[in-house]
Amino acid sequence: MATIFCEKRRPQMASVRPHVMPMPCKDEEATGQIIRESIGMTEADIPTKVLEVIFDAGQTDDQEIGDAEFIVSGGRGLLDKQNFKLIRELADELGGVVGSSRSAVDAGWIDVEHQVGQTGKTVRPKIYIACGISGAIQHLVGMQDADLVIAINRDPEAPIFEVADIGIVGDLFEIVPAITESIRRAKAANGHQACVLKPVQG
Amino acid sequence: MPNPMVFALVLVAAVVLFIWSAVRRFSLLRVGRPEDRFNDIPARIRDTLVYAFGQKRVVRKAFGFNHLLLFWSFLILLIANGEFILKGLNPAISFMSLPAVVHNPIYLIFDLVSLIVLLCVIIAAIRRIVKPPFPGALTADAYVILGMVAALMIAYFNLHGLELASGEMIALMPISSAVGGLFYSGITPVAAHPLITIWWWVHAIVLLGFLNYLPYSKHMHILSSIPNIYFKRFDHANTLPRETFVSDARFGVESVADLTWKDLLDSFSCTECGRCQMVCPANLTDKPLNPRQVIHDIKINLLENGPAMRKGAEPKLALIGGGGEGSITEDQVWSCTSCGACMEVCPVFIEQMPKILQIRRNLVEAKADFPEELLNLFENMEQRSNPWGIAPSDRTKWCSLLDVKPFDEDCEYLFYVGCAGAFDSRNKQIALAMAMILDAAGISWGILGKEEMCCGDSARRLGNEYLFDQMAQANVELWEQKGVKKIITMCPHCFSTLKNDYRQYGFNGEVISHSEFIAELLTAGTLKLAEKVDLGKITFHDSCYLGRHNDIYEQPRSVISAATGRDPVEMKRNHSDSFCCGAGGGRMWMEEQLGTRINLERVREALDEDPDTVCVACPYCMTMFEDGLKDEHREMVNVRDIAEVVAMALPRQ
Repeated sequence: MATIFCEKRRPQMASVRPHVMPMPCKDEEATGQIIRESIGMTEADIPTKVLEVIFDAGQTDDQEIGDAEFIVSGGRGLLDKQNFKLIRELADELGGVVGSSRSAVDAGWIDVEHQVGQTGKTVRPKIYIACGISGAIQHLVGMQDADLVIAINRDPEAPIFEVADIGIVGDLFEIVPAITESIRRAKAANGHQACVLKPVQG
Repeated sequence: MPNPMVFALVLVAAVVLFIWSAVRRFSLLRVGRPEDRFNDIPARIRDTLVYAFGQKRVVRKAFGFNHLLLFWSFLILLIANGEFILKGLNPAISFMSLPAVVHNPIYLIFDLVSLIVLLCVIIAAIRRIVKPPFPGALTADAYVILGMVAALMIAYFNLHGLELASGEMIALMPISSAVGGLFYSGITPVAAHPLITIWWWVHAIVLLGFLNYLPYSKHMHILSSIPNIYFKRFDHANTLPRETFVSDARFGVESVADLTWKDLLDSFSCTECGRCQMVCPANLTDKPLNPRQVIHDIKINLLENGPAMRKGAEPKLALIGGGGEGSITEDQVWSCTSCGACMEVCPVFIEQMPKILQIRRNLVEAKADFPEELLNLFENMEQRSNPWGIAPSDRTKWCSLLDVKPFDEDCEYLFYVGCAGAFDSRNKQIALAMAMILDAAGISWGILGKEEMCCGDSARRLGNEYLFDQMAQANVELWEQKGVKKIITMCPHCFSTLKNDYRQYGFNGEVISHSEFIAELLTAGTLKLAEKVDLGKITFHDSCYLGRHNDIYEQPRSVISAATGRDPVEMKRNHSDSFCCGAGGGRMWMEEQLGTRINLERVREALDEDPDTVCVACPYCMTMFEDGLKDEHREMVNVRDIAEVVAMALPRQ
């Protein structure tokens, strides 16, 4: 969400992105005046024209992480390139995409398109699961606006826990497959109806 | 001996040609912009004596001694060659006409010095084959000049050997005598005469040829490097000049016409010794940047474009572009960490780094052409006044559990926390340590809290001068409002920017690095430590912006010694030779996709000392070292800022 500073000035203003708040029930009693301003401008008046939207090459089968609702990210804690398959399995189970920290990209474990952070992509998913990512500030600024951050890390002092809504201190090699498995089981039990992980507010 | 008339004609022709060539070359300096390097003549003369005639920087490297010998031998042989030329014009002019007690030592010295020169050029020629200073040092140009100097000495020994052997000259010249005895023993004056004439002409032609070759080769440094040292900067090149933002202004350096005459003189003064490239972190990690090549390309570009540009034409060969000879690529420009190692080692005080940063200005301000990851950075610095784009209200989070006073007029010192200290979780601990130290020493201090703004260091080193200009003005204005007179910093980038760059914006307060400040507190006894901290074996990493750019080397070491009771061990490269962590010059915010990683190179060097703790005095170095140690799977080695070490030694409350 944007942070807008108008400490010493009035009027105050606020804006929110779509989906950041749950939809409340309609309150018939509510009062207040909504002023709709017509700015009398059509798309034809905008000098910049969108001719065509072309997607980057190499992103054909991967959902763009910038738009993903669920992101499972891996970092240096994965220790090896092949361990990214744990991350991939969990992401697949959630219908999400794989993200990564810069160090995993630098190590050559994953393509730079997956990099989240200052020099990578800024993401705002509903759920961001950080596995083996300590949470250097360069990474945090790219994902801290996620609705729900789940962090899995061995080091209880890791700064990722400062921004995490749910923190799991432990071995990701045990925890990640366990989560994947329990989702798989839950989905089987529910007949693939719904995902067990729903964005939790608050 | 030659016919004086013939020689006079040859001499005049050679000298006229030389003057024409030299004037033509040096007049190209007028393509550059003006720059005032004419102040403080006594200090300039002093530095010229020390660094040009004393060769102080040349002899820092062992092989430089060879150059020192050559340099002084050349000066002595200037006298010998003066006599040679005058004698060629009028045979009556000779040191021989002086009394024997005078001329004997003169000829003895000439003879011995000539041998020294011959040996020196032979050693230099062999070195280039056996152990070249850098790959590619084996150039034809180098051998032409070495060959010419050797030929000159050989002609000299033959000429005098013949004169001595035939009895035409009697002097104490052991080397020439030996040559005479070996090749011309018992030769009659009649038989010697034509040979003398031949060797005399060989000597004359090589000498005049040498003179005329100079302006067209890298050995032009014989003519240009003494002036280059005379016109050197007195301070460190740790800032760049301000720009004026008016319409139609030119920003940064796009062509040689945007450089100053001194920048262009730099390019004429480089003799391609390669010392800069051997210390350049970008070059040593296989990135395309090579500071020697940058200077060389500026020279080639000037030679190519200069004559037409003097007549008002546009340059044909672009200075920034394809990267062929005479042009510099953007990858080279963005590879610089602004560590200043190149300038520190250059024997003739060439300023490589500011030229690179000036090119960045042009790319950013005139062409909006920069690595894409910087877009985010520039926006964040512009909108939130911090590199990460974090809400400014978070600036005080690091001290939310402490009772830190907002700066007001009663505070003696402003503790300028800086973005790293305020936002980065690891570096917040340094800010906390500083707060503990300042309180323990009873210092009157405060912070600006959420009013604090980024110093803009990265913006300036990355060439976004317009952004930096705004940030600097806003900061200076704020400090004036608040009555800030003394500032303590914990980041050398903030430190150097506030101390040096902000002078250009009228800030005249005192700026003190935490290294200096803590060292002073300890020396004065204001800060008392309870116990010695045991951090095992410690090595200290010099930050470029503390050390090379601001000459602060001993203070952080003394702080470590005081807090731990033992001196830090030195890495192979330390003090002014220290090797950059890779984060300076805005590289902190860029991907390092070319070559190998600079921080790993430095981390491995630190690990060679097998330390338990690496001490740093810079938040950027902290990040680079911690990352590098993780990559090397050596997390057991701790990285600590000097302030943290001191905080651990404070008496428990």
